[in-house]
Amino acid sequence: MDNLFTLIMLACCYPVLPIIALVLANETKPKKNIVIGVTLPKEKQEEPKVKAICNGYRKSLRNWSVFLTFLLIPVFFLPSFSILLTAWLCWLLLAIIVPIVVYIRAHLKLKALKVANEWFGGVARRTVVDITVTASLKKPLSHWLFLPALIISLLPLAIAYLIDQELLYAATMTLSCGSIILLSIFIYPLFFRQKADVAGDDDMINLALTGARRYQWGKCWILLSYLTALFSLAIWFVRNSQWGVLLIVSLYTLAAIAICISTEMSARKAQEKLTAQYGQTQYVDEDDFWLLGLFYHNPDDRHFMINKRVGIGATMNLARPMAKVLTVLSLLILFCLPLVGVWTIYEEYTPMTVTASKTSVTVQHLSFEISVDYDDINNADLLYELPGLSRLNGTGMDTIDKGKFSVEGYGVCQICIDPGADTFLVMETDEKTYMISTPSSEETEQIYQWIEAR
Amino acid sequence: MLLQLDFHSEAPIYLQIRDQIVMAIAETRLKAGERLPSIRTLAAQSGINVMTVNKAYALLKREGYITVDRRHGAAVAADGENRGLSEKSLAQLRLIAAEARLTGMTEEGFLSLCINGFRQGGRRNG
Repeated sequence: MDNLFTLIMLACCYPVLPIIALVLANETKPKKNIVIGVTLPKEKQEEPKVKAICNGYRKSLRNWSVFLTFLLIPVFFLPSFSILLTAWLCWLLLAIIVPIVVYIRAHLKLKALKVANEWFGGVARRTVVDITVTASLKKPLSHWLFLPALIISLLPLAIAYLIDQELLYAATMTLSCGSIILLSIFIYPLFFRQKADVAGDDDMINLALTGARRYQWGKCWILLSYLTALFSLAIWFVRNSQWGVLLIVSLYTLAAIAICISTEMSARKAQEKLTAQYGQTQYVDEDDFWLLGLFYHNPDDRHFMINKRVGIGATMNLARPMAKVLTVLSLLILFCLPLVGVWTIYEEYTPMTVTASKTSVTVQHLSFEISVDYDDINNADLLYELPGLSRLNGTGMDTIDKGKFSVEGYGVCQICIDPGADTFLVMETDEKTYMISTPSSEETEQIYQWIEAR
Repeated sequence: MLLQLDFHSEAPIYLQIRDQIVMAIAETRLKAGERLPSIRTLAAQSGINVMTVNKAYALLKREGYITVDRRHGAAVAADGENRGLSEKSLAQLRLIAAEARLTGMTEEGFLSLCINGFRQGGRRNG
């Protein structure tokens, strides 16, 4: 199980590192006169000192990526599920933070170089809008474009209704996929309301920059909707195959990530090409609004969402109170990630406590408790081998299985057992069936005898 | 045409919009008949209040620099109309002339400055 879990975590977590490293490394190519989050005059972008900082930054990103990859090797030899999970979550946090720290260091270095050499001259500390572009902005396509996707996502529910089978499963899938498509319909026009790109005084370039970004992101949301609709249909057809479901979910996740990354990369490539082509007389310098080159803070801008300078998609204007709250919450969640692992270690290594008397038995593990009065028991079985289990909800680890499980031969049971124990006690009452284990076989047999005696 | 709004300037935002559009028309960066963004779009794009843009457009319309049509939106007014300077602008010009005289500038020097400034503003009407 640990090997399979390691493989799943490897597939889910490891891609985070190369994706972040590649996106950040791409920042050394000037886009809208911005290099590593610093706006530079066009003629200074090829300066040897700028090039040296860019090369050092790329090298540092590469070295840290290699180091973090090697850091994963010991993870494969860790003993238990909870320690493995904690190690993976800590590594994931490092894979996110380390490349960003490398970026911030290079950004500050380049900014210091800009200040020392007084490479200013752009329009700074002002809100700049291109009137010609603003007057020519295209409207988003009609919402009706999403309707076929929504209809396709409803098909599993319609089929389930017609054949009168697995309605709940179909309804759950339709609800989940339909919600994603509805979210796309809501987000799609938001990208068209964002501030238009202004790199310099050339209206046509500004229009092309804005158009390229909006076209790519508009296409992205439409594609994501249709991908979700197909996913809804595919997952319905493979519903009885565990591997089929795993395959379809993996393919859907990979395709969605690929669409988002390629969208951002295409938009940035277009920006790079467009701004490299022309010699402008005036350029816009918004560096003062970007803290550490990552966080946008402009009290004079009423926009809540703003195109990211670095990364994929949009970021929030930290001058807005709600943006501050959401950012602090996001950072808290990110930094608390390893705590999930610590909690799992606590779960896995805290032993069960069994309190048994001649009248009742109570098995407790942290906040979970099973308490059975012998008088309520209709039938009890002592098992010397663990029957097949399938978790419905609760915890399933090497040292503890607790919660609601489907147990072979007994149906749905409330269980609190150590899967490594030698004996298991099944107790059937009018309302529920329970399965417990105790630290020793003798204790379990003793409880069984007390039950039989009554 | 780039609109640059300085929120820390003493000049009100609506006046900054008005002045920059007038300068852009004079310098032919905005041409006669060219469409301007709607009030709502410009407000949304520049992150300012709709009423501020409305005030700037109303002033520009009153002064004859733009036309506002319910169906086609705002556009730069056609050439050829000799509107003359407003009383306010004439008063400003008189004040600048007085300041120039007090600095000891000659009439020819002042006229030369005026001509340069006029020419920098483009040759919209010829």
